[in-house]
Amino acid sequence: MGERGEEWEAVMLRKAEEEESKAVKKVKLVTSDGVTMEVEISTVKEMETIQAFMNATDTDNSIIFPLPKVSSHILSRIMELMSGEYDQELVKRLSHEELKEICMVANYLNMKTLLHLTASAIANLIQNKSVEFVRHFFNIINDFTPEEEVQLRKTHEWAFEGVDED
Amino acid sequence: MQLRLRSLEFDRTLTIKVPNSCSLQQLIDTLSHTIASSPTLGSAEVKTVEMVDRSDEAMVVSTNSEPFFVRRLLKEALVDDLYDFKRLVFMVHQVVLDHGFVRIDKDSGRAVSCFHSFDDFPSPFSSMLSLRYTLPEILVDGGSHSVNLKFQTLGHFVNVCGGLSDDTGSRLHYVCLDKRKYVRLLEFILANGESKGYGKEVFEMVKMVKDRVALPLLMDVCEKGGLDLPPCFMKLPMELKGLILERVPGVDLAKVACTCSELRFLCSGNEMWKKKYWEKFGKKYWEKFGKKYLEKNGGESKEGVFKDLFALSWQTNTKKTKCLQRIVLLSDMLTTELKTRQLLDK
Repeated sequence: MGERGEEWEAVMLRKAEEEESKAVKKVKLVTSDGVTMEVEISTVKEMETIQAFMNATDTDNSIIFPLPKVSSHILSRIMELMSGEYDQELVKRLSHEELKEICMVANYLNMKTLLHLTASAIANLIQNKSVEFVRHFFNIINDFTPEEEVQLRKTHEWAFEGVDED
Repeated sequence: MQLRLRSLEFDRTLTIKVPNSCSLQQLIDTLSHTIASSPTLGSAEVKTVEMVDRSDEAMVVSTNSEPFFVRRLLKEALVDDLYDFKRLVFMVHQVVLDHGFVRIDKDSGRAVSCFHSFDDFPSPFSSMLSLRYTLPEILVDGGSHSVNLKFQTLGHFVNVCGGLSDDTGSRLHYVCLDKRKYVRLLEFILANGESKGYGKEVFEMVKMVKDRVALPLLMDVCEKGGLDLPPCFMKLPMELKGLILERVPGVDLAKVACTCSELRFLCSGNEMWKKKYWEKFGKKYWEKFGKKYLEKNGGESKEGVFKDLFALSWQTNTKKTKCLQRIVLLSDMLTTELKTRQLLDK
């Protein structure tokens, strides 16, 4: 009888544990401007940096993860993109600043899909543009001497046909 | 002009007479005075307002209490051309403030604190307006660099043009906004909240103002005032820049290499160009032409060899296409010539 009781207890314990893990776990993300965002654990799966941290520590239901490099504005944009399954249309609507910020955050959190998406979006901005446009657009300071630049343009002459109007 | 205010709760109507040509301030004063002194309407929420004019009528449904209602009335009922202009100017102004600018007085160069709401606009309000902005950091340092933003309404469009105010030779940044497209949407969103799905167009407009005017101006003024540049492509970590450049086609990569020395370096890797070559020309080309070229020119490990190969292949490719085009053109000419001759012979 005593043995059976113990067995019973063990079964119940396992059941309780299973149920606990079935309940949707939430992760709290704290942004640089002090906003706390509660997201489901499935959302965080793509954020490999956080995932690695959670694997290393024993996770309980209320995990808080500070993101000192991410503003709440950018995080909400990222959530939008994730819930929209990385729709190209959504990416097109981002301003250049947002695009750059999101790219950095994707790199920091090691979100592969998002990183590739934003990198491609920025690469698309460069396509078919003149040197002057790229310089101005990305605020690149020309540090070549005039002679150097003439030389460079000469060697790259082949690439200068059919450039879009700025 | 007669205005009729109706309270649905009390089922009472109040008629207010306003001179046909009255200023905004006068209208606000008259309305708030009348509402406050009316025993029923003063305490109740005004639900419906009808504006009765000789020519056109406007209907406004309001569910808020009166001070807000008065503002709303002005926003929605008085939709004359200048107000559309004003609304867009205010939008742009907000975007510029969002980028950390402060508005300053043209003559004194001091910060102007007012003008944070739609009703603070300078009067008289004409079809041209010029506002001056600077950054707080520049003001603190006692610097005088600032940017000028000019607004002009022409027909359905509002032109916004900005540039450094103390450097007439500097680059100007333009954006043109369509009043028909954006003002109604803005009004609609103000009245119904953003959830109705009309946010997209307005968002696009804000993005346009941001990317074409506000951000370039910020860059210009930072450069002029010797401040740290705003976040931009160059501030990205090296590896991210590399990741982005990997996705740029070879021909554009060559152009990027001409922008500055850092990017020239990032765009010169052999591995990078090898990839670009394979992407663009593929195996067939490689077997036929690339392999031999590499053997002749020092093998795969030689610095820059893949870039040269890419350039050469690109050039021959474009030459080929041009030749083909010429051949097609010539054959076309020949066939028509032949046809005419045949016709003549007959």
